[in-house]
Amino acid sequence: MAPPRQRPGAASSSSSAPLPPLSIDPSVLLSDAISFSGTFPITIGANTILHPRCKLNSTEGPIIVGSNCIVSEKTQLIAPDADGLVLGDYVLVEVNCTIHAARIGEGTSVEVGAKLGKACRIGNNCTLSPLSTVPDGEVLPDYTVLYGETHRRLDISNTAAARNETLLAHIDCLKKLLPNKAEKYNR
Amino acid sequence: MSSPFPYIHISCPCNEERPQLMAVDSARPISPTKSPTKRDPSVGLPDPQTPVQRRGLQPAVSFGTAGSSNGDDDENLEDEDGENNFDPRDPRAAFSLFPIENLLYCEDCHQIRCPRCVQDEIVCWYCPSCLFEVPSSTVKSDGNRCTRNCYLCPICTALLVVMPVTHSPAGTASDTPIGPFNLFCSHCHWTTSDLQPPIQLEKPTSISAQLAKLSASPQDAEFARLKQHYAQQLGNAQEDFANSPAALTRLMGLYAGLGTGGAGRKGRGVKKLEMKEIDRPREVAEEREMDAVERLAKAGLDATTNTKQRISQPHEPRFLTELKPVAVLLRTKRSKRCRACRHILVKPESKVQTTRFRIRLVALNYIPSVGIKRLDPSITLTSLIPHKTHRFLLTVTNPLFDPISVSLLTPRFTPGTEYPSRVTILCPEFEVGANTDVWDDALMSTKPAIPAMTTGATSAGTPRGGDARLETVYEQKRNYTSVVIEVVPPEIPDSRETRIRDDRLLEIPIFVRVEFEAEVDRDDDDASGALSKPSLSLNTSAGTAGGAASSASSAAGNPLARERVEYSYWCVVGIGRVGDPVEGVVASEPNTPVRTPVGTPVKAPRTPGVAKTPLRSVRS
Repeated sequence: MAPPRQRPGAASSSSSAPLPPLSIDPSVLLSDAISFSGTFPITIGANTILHPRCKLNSTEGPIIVGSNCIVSEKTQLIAPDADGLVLGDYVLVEVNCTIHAARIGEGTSVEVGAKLGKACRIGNNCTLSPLSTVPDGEVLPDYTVLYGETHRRLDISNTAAARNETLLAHIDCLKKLLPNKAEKYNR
Repeated sequence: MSSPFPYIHISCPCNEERPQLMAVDSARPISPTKSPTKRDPSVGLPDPQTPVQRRGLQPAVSFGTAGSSNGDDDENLEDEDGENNFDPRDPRAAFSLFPIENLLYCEDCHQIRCPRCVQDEIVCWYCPSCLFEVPSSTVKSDGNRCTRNCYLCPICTALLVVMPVTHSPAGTASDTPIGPFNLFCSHCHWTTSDLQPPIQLEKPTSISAQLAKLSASPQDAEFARLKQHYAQQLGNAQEDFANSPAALTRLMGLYAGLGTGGAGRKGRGVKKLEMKEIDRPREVAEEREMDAVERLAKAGLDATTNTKQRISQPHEPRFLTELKPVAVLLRTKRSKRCRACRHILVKPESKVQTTRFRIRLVALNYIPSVGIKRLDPSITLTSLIPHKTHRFLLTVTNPLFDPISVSLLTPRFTPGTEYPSRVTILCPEFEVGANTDVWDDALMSTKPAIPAMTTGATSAGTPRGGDARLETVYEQKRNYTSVVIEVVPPEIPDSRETRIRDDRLLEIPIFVRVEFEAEVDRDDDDASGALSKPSLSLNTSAGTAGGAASSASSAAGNPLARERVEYSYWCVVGIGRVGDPVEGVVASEPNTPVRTPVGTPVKAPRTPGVAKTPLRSVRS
């Protein structure tokens, strides 16, 4: 049942594998060589940026990415099960992350190389510092900061709004820099 | 030693109980007029345990490439002393073993210098975060922390940034952000507003000054109280401390009084300064303690600091809400001097921003380095198989611009343990090419010296069956040569004693002796000895190696005199750990006697165990 996974880096439009059903907002910036695979639908909200070579795999379930998100290079978003993977709004996913989570809350930033275990649920406005790992099935409450080896603390700095604004500025900047190849994925 | 296998540590000569200045002579050119230097016995001594000797070779062949008959006589005189083997398990040895990367080389002493025998001098203090150089007077007055705007997060030790407390919407953001400000950790999102009471600053600059005003912990008040008390007492006795001859006599009197057990206090008109202790050294406020207990009951253990955080802060905070931002510790740039001759070995550029060095005499550029790797990739270094012959490739790399001839000596059995392993270097003498330009080798045709050298080594080594390549130089390239070393570990029982002494750790001491021809040092005052040398070395080296002989003869004709220089050091090769015996592997060669036969005095079994190894006697 599972369709063959696309080779990484192969432009989807030229690939022989069928794309999963995509429902992508017209304001989304889709870069070159994004890999969409799987059979479940993939939904992407308004004003979101997908960097080149990020991989969205909906073999096991649907993927929903909210609005005003950034998904960086070499990051894999893999739906864990039929309930799918939901990214809230204002989610920043940095380079080289592996995300197998069930839910990532609004305003969360997942930094470089973080690994999110299967079906874990991340709350709103969390920060996962570089190279941190979240075990399978873990539930992180809102405003959790994961840092160091296994340290956690609650973020009471009240900077969530400021970070969302920074993210918007970041998106504006990327929209000027990255070429939009959205037409390649229209089928 | 905790480093992963294999490791090679070089023994700095400072581990021997000889005066450093005497050891200086060791690297001097051998001259027949000079008396043998301190290092000479260990250099040229035909150890009964060396494999070369066991094979029945003449000492003149194995060691005497440059040694004269004169040297041989001296060697015989000192021969009865069998204590020349370097024992890596000797307690004293551990202080002097360093990887070659950690070693420096003194050009004037011609000697390796380890971190123990160099002297550090601070060139400058600087903040690693803002790279601002801090003058030493400020360090003395204000402490060794950055006094500008560099602060670290007390939670995760990342650098803090200044942020306005109230977030102004993007539309209204003006060029100058409006206060108040707090310090924000962009890694773990800690801010100074999290504190109780929150620290908020009016200005985004000169943070240290603002924080200094804010910090008024009970500890600070206590310190101020103590300081005032003692300053008052000091003020009463101020006239005694005036910079006068009387004050000096008084001080000297104090010391004299200490020396004679208080008897010096009477008479002589010496007045001892009487200081009164403060009445209540520490004030404990009852309410504050109760408050802390209540807070702990409310917030739980998660709100308390860990030991590291408590120690790192002067006011010993108990709760996370009491932590303060920590100013960045300053770092230093240091120059290093040789302790023996006071010459500078390392001198960094005094500007903080540059990472260059003005002087940097690292040992890697001066002494040939030894490397080791497995010849058979199936060997697992952490569990060597007892009774099996493990072959390793020992590579000597030459950093010098002159070709060198190398002799490697090793005890036949590893010393310092009750379970010695048998070690054989199959080709202990060989040549290593000069460290010439990489392209020289490629542009020139093949060197004729290499085959000549190889045959010479074959004749020197005992003919044995098997691969001829293993018997001779295994590989020879531009500036490195590899030879084969065979190790046969013994069977070691897994008992408590062997674990305590770590008998399974297999360390092989190897004595590396290097000879080469170098241009005569013009500063060398010992000119006569230097001049008489080339002819001598020409005679002795002619028979051994073709390459060396040709270079020597060309040097003899050269008006620019060249001299024979030798250098030697002990190194310790940590090969690995001996594993459990494996079925089917029996002693393949007649090498199993753990106890050596009678008549071959090997030092190791006589002094078993690292704890019982006596310190080497001082040789005058």
